Parts: sequence; C-alpha cells; structure tokens
Amino acid sequence: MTTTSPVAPSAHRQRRRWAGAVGSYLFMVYVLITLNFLLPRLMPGDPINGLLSQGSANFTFGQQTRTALRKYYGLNGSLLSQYWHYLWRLLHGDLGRSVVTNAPVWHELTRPLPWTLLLIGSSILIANVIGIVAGIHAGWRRDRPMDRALMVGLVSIWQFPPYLLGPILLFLLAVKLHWFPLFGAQTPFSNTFGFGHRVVDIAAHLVLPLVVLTAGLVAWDYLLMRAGMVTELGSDYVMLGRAKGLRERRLKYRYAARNALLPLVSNTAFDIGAAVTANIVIESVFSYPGLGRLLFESIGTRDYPVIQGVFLLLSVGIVTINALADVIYGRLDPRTTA
Amino acid sequence: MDRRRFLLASLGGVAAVAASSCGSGSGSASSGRAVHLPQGATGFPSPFAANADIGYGQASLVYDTLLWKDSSGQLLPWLAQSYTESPDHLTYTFQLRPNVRWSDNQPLTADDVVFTFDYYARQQTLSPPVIIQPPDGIAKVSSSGPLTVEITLAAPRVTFLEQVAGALPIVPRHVWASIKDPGSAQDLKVLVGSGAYRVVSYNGDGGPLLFVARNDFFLGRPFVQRIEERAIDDPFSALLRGAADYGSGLGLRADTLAQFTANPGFGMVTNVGASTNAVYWNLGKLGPLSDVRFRQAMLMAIDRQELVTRIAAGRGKPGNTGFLGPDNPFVAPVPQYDFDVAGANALLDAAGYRVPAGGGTRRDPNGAALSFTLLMDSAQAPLSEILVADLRRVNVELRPNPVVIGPQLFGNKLTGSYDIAVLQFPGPGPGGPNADPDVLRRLFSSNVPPSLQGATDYANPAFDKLADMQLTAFDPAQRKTLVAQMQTILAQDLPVVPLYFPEWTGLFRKSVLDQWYFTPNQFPVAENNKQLFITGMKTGTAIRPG
Amino acid sequence: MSSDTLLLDVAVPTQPQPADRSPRTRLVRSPMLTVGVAILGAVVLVAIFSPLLSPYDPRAISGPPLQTPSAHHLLGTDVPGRDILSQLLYGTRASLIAAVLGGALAMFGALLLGVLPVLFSPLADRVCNRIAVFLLAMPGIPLLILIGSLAGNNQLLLIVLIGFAGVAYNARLLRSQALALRDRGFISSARGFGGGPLYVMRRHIVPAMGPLVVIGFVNWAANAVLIQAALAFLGLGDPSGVSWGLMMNRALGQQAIYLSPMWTWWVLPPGLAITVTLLGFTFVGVALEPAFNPRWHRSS
Repeated sequence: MTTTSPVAPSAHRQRRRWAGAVGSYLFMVYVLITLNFLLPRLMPGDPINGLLSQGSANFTFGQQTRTALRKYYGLNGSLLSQYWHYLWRLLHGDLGRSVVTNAPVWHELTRPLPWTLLLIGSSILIANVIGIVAGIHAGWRRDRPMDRALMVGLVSIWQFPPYLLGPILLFLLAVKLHWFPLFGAQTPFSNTFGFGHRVVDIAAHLVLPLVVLTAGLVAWDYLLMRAGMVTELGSDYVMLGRAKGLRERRLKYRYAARNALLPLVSNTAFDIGAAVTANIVIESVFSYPGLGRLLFESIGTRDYPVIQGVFLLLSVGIVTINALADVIYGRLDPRTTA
Repeated sequence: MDRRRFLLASLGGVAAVAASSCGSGSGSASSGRAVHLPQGATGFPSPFAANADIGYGQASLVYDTLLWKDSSGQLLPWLAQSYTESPDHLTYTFQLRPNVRWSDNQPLTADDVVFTFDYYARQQTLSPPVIIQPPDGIAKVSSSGPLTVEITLAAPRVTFLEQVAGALPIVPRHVWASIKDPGSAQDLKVLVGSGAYRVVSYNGDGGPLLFVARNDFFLGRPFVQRIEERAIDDPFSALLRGAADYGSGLGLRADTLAQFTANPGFGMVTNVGASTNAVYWNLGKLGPLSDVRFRQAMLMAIDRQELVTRIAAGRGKPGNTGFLGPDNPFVAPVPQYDFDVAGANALLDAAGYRVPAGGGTRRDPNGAALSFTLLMDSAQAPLSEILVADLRRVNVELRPNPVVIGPQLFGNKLTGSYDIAVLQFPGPGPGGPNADPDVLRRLFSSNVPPSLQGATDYANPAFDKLADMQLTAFDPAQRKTLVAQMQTILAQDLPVVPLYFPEWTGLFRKSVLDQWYFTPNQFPVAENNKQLFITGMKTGTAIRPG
Repeated sequence: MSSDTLLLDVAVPTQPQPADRSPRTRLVRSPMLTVGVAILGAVVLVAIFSPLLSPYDPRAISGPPLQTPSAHHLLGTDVPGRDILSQLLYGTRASLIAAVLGGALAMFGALLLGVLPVLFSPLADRVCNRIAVFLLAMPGIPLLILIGSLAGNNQLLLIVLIGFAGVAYNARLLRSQALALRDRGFISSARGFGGGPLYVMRRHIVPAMGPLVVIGFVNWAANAVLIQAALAFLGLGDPSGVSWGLMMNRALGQQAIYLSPMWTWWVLPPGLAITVTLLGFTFVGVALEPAFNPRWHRSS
C-alpha cells in the first residue's frame, strides 16, 4: 500500500498522492457501505419472520400485521429505494432501529463496543509486546536452543484454535478450579463496587478470553519480528556495523530491531482483523458481551439494520486503521518519506 | 425464543436458557433476600417492547394485571380486589384496590385501566411492533367510578378472565398517552408500573437486568427484595457454583442431574409437555402428505419412545397424537398409532404406496417416489437423523433441509414451502402442549389467522365447531368433554403431532427460595411466577415473613 | 487470519536469488519439516483409509446415546448414538478437502489476480492491485460468516469462499515477486521471442515463483482448515455432515457439558485433531520459509 519513490516528490505530486489516497479511501468506504446493505439481503430468510418468531408460539397474525411490520421497518419498498433510504439516513448518522428489539442500532452497538475494544486492544498490545521481545532475541540468536524452544512453543500454542483453547481453559480454570469467573465481562450490577474492586473484577473476567485471543496473535507477531531481525541481520549495514566494531546491543536495538519493527505496524491492521474473527468464537465460549456476539446473533435473526451497523463499524474501522498504518509506516520508514 | 436462545440453538444445543423471568432478593447493602437467575433481558421490559414469553414475564414484575394466577391455578385478586360476572358472561365489573400507586407515586385509577385497553386496541393498527397479542373480542371498556371498571365482551369467552383480565399489563395513562410509538419507547423513565419491582439496571437485549423491590407495594413488603437476571449461558454450571439460584432446561442428562440430586441443598421441579418437537405435514400438497393413511403409517414407523431415550436422555414422554402434553389436565386418551414397522409397511402397501420391484423408495400410484424434504432447525440435526433412519426402514425417504430457525424455518413454514417439517415448542409458555386447551383452537382451527406454529392448510369443520363451542363452555366438565372430542379429531386427522415431550427440569437452591413451581396452563407466566417472589409461597397473596 | 502469509512480505526476495545449495541441505535436516511432513502424511492416510479404519458408519446410529468409551465404542457415542471415533476419522476428510481445495483456489486466484496482470500491462496490474488492496481491507471472516449463511448447506461453495478469502493476500505477495522478475527483464525478452502472456507465465513465471506458491498454499491450507472448522463450530454449514468443527459444535451445544466428563472424549479429540493438522501445515510452512529467503542465510 505504500509506494517507494526513488526521487523526492514535489509538493504538487505529494498533494496529488494525498488526494488519490483520500479518494481511494472514500471509495473503499462507499463500496463497503453498499456491500453492507446488499449482503444481508442476499441471505435466505426474512427479518420480519425473525421478529414474529420472538412472539409466543400461539401468537396469531394476519397478512396485514406482516405488511404493517414491513412498512414500519422500512422493508416494504423496492431494493433501490431501500438503498437510497439507507444511504440518506446514514448521511445523517442514523443507523436505523433493530428489527428484533426496536432499539436504535446505535445503542445496540455502543453497549458491546467498549468490551470488544478492551479485549481486542489489550490482546493486540500484549501480543505485540511478547512477540517483539521474543522475536528480537530469537532472531538475533537464531537457531540457538532458546530460538528453537520459542519457535516450537509459540507456533504450537498458535495451532490451538480458540474453539478448543477456550473450552479447555474455561473448564479447567473456571469450572473446576474456580480461579476465574464463568461468564460475562463483569459481575452483573457491580456498579456499587469501589473503583479498585471494579477494576479487579473486570480484569478477572478478561483474563481467559484475553489469553485465548492473545495465543492466536502472539505467534504471528513473533514470527514477523524474528523474520525481520533475521533479514536485518543479513543486510549490509549490520555487516558493516559489525565490521566497524559497533557494540552488539546498539546494533541490535538501535538499528536492527527498529527496522524490523516496521512490518509490525502494518500488521496491526491484520491483527485487528484476526482478533475480530477469533472474537466471534471467543465471545460465544465465554459469554462475553462484545460485537462478535452481537453480529452472530443478528445474523441468526436476519436483523438487517444491526448486521449493517456492526459491519459498518468493523469494516470502516479496519479500513481506517489500515490507512493510518500506511501513514505511520510512511513516517517511520525513511525510504518512503525521502 | 429470545435471541440468546437463537444463539444457543445455532450453536447446536437444546435451548439451555430457561423461560420466563424473575427472581428476587436482597441487595448486599440493604437487607432482604436476593435471587440470582440465569436468563437475561429479552427485549426492553415494557409491555410493548418485551419479546416472547420470557420478556413478558420480566415486564410482569413491573406491571400488574387485574387478576394474577398462583400455583393452584386460582386467579387471585390483584389490582382488582373483586369482580362480578354477569349471568350471560358478557359483562365483568372489576372493583380496583384503593391506594395502589404507580412507582412515580401517582394513584392508579379506573381511568388507567380504561386507557390501557384503548391503547392496546389502537396498537393493532397504529404500531404493529407490539409482539404480545392485543386482546380480542372486547366490545367496550368503561369506568363507573374512580375504582370501578366495566368490561363488556362481544361474545362470551371462557378464557377471558385468565387470558385478558389475568394477562393484560395495566399501564399508566400519564406516561403512555403522549407516546405514539410504544415499541420504540425504551428509556428506563417510561417503566412506571404498579408492580412489586422496579427496573434498576437494563443493559440491552440479552444483557443483565436488575429488579429491586418496592416496599410500598400494595400487598406489602415483597419477600424477595432483589432479582438479578444475570444473562448466563450455562445455567447449571452457574447454579452449581453459586452464580445462580435457579436453572432449568430440558432432557437433562443423568450425570448432570446426579450432581444436584445428590446434594440436599438443591430442589427440583419438573414439567413434561412444556416443550415438544412436533412434526408438521404440508396438507396443502396433493399426494401422500394429504393422505391420512400415509401420515398414520409414518407415525407407526417412528419410534417415539426411542426419541425420548436418544434425544431427551430418557427424561420425558413419547408424543401424543392429540397434541396436549402429559401434564395437561385436559389430555384425553386417543389412538396413538404405536411403533409398528410391519403395520406401517402393511398400511403403506394397502394405500397403494408400493416398494418398486428392485427395492428402494416407495412409489405412489402415479409413480412418484415417496421422497420428502424435512424442513428443520439446524440445531435439530440429531432428531432429523433418527427420523431419516426410521422412515428409511419403511422405504420412505426424508431429505433434511436444515435452516435458521426464526427467519427461515418459520418463513418457509408460513409460505408452505416444505413437505414435512419439525418445529419446536421451545419451553414453558402459553402456546405449548401444556397450555389452556384453547391452544388447540388457535393452532388448528381454520377460523383463526395463521400463527407461526399453526397447522398448514388444515380445515375440519367439525373441529372448528367444537373449537368455538369450548370457548363458551363455562361448565368445566362440559368443556373437558368438548376438548376431548377435539383431540379425537386431531388424532384422526394428524395435522401436527408432537413427537416427544422432553421433561422440563427446574433446579434450585433451597436456601434462597424453596417454593418454585410451574404455573398451571403455563400462563400468564410459566415458571418463576412473580407471585412466588412477592409472597415466598406457592399460593395466595399473603407474604411469608422473613 | 488472512495475515498468515504476511510473513512472506519480508521474505520476498528483492534481489536475484543466489544459487545457494545450503537451503536445501538445511531443509533436509530441519526437524520441523520432518515432523510437519509426517503429520500431514498421517492425516492424508487417515483420510484415504477412514472407511477401513472406522469401526462404524459415522452417520449411522450404531449404539445407545451418550455412551462412555468402551470396547465397542472407543470414544463413546454422541447424542443420537453415533460412534464418535468413526466421526473423528471421517472428519479428516472434510478438513483435508477444505485444506487442499481452499489452498489451491487461493493460490490459483492469486496467480490470476496478482501475476497475470503484471504480464499483460501496467494498467491491468494497477487495476488488479487496487482490487487486491481493497479486498484485503475487508473484515474477511465476519464477511465469510455472512456469506456462509448464504451458502447454507452447500459445503463446496463454503470451501470455494474460504479459498476466495485467501486470494487477495497471496495475490499481493506473488505480485511483488512477479514485479521483481519483470524488472530483471527476462519476461520482456521471452515476450520478445513471441511468447504470449500465458506462455510466459507457464514457462517462466510459475517455475520461478514455485517456492512462493508452495508456501502460500501451505499457509492458506492451514487457514482453510481453521476457518472451515470455525464455521462448523458456529453452526454454519451442513449440520448433518461429518467434520471436526461440527463434532465440537454438537458436543459444546450439550446442556451443561462442563459438568460431565463427556467433554474429554467428545470435545477434546476433534479439537486436538484440528490442532495437530494445523501443526503439520504450519511446521512445513515455517520450515520452508528460510529455504526461500536469501538474506536469511547471509546472516548466519
């Protein structure tokens, strides 16, 4: 996504490059928004039936009830008119109302969002820190026992899919040993707790999902960092530095590690994609009230507005972070700033 | 079927989340009893936004009805301290309790009751997202004094007291009069009720829900002071560990159950027929599906006892061709077409559905193969596997078509795009086999509008007539006779047959609350009735001390 | 998880690959590769011979429900009464098909989207690269879940979609290699001799990029196993199929499964089978990595 220019671009060209980048970013967002609208409607099934099935088994209704419900939720017009309607409301920041709960989609999104951010954010942070530290050392001393142990260990842990690791940890540490709570993101109604107590409570609930999510990310960050280190070690400047007798530490951290970090920046965007994915499973296993669960549930009821809302948040979030990563990458990499 | 149940269903499980709402208890700081329940909010707990039977139960903690039922099936005086019924069963006069106050301290008057009936009636056209059934058959509601309400019916209905007076949550005029779209009014401020509990914390659909008792409640200080609905997916682990005080589900395995029955600290209540999986035939299709002999033979080919053994871990009863559940007092003995493969084969042969010379799937007289799609919830795969194997024994082919339960299963069923379907009556509730027998009319009479779980294209004038007659049969013995005749017709026609009734098992921690019960007719609330939380007892309105 | 092959971003040779013998000798001695290949070999054998190895038809009800392990059913039975061991053995097939098809489709698509345009024209390359960048920015797996519900019970379609999800990343990866090859000029000379783009691709590009394609395939095959099982675990796809993800879905869907020892023979075996298979792919992938990274060796 980042182009390396051999010559320093003029201010004009720089502006054009920026305009192009912003333009393609906006285009991407537009296409995503459109896909968000279309894909749910391509799924078999009807949200009105999803809604009616929330009623009692003997809830009776005539055709006019269904027609009225369609109209109420704006599902009665042609696909094109629904699309314009959707775009128009989106422009005004209106995500619509959930068909199932009749609550604003915005509310449905903002409740789980902090929990998902907490889980994904802390997991990516921890995975990167572990991955970077382990990667630097392993890469610098490649093929030593430490490197091999880390490699086999981390890569093996990585192969435990969240739907296996989650249940195992839940069973051993929560059900059997009672070390961690069974479910949720916090003890319900814990707002009476003091601040410290609350933090501990939230942390205790976070540990197991966090471990599972981090296990899926850390090996990747580690491999990336290690490969980066190995590559840097093979590059001319390190050889030159060594030949000149630069101190090992300086070479390792100031030069090699710094350059090897670059790919991790753009990788963060992928980490987020991977975390969001794993999250759907993890939130199911631990009953964690996040966005993944919301998405999965709303797909089950074909709740179009909620599916659209979650996707909008995820896809625009990922596209934006990608774009930001590009910018940061450009800043960090001397070759691209020229 | 709340959304979490959908999730669980999609995850392949039997619905692990128990039905209706409630619980109670004491705050940790304030004194009093606290009950922790595993379910979560099922929609916003106002009468107009709550979803399904569970959501109704949650709203019922905040809102009261004129009458309310306890474990004896008796309708207790609730908002109404007494009522009179005219000899023609058309006019009911309710005398409201004096000094009932809304939670914002305004007095509850006859005016509010009249408003409530008007408001619900308007929602039928104004604001369709109301998912509870608006009362029908009401001709006029008026007040004759500040505490006297007179309700006139268009036609007599034996179910009126239970299903309208005992079910319709009375809402305050001063809150709702200005609200045009009640389904979307989801601010805690609108939850002004006359009930024993206030909603203190609501965290969205599926999230935890906290109720705290109102000590100015008209029956006195509620026995349970605090009800925590904690939104737990696995109620039994939570119960065992102390995170919940009640957990219920169906077809509990022996190894799970043993962990509770071995411990004297836990108690158990059961109900067979609260839930069922029923087979539906698309009677609108010509050929074998609309041939009753074929349906009889299919029932003989399916080992319904084996379904109990294999799917419900042996806890439950085989299905009943008369539809009603084993614990329903109206259940009548009817022919069952017991498991008999030879008999099924003979019946199919006699009906002209013959096995081709070289073996294989039977053909009908026109040469078409007896091969049918089986529309089913993806989570019911084990059941479908048994059915496929059972019918293969009599050379009939079933092709499973697993779909998502709400949007697809019911959609296909409503539009008749299926051959044979299996639909679940998921748990205790007023629409299942243990409900008031009027459920038979609602599901099978051709005079009522369609419902999700009603029969497809079933019309039997004799049944329709009986169904209408039982609605005006005020003599219980007479009603029972009529309902028995209805079941006989159903057992002949076989439009929908419950395949098995898994036992619905409720387990509870005795030290917190020990009087749990299932409400007769599973209405207005099937389990965790607020009467229990308020009084601490199974019956009556007198509050247990302590 | 589309990030799997990102590792290779670093590994893409930016200089002519030296005629270095050492990687191959190193490869032979790599214990990771040996273990990886052994695992994959075993998986393939089990998949091929599952009808011989399985004591029962995995779909048939062959015993009482919820049996604990016994001589008749070494891993017990599931809810309608099907043999769990047989399901475990047959489940290998679903995973392997997903791996091979998913990996192959991803790499085939990647060649079409990432390499072919390079040979045609710079404009085609730019357009295709934009498309790849765009696809890459999508929240892949959530989208797959959505589309997975669309695919319904069509397992093959689901696998095609899983393969498709891997196209964009691998296309970007192969493209940079193709660009490097193009810059070295031997494509233009081949074309100068009258070779069409497809001919050039077949004769020159594909052999030159073979190693990269192999690594991409191995990595995406692992992803396909993971995703296929995840979708089945979430209850998407055909509930009457036989696969590891589905076994876990059914087992964990059991009420109060954690209160029963059942989970040790119903949940763990398919879960560990997935893990072992993934290990096989990943070991091979990680072990192959240095063999194709020239700089890797200069440093040692």
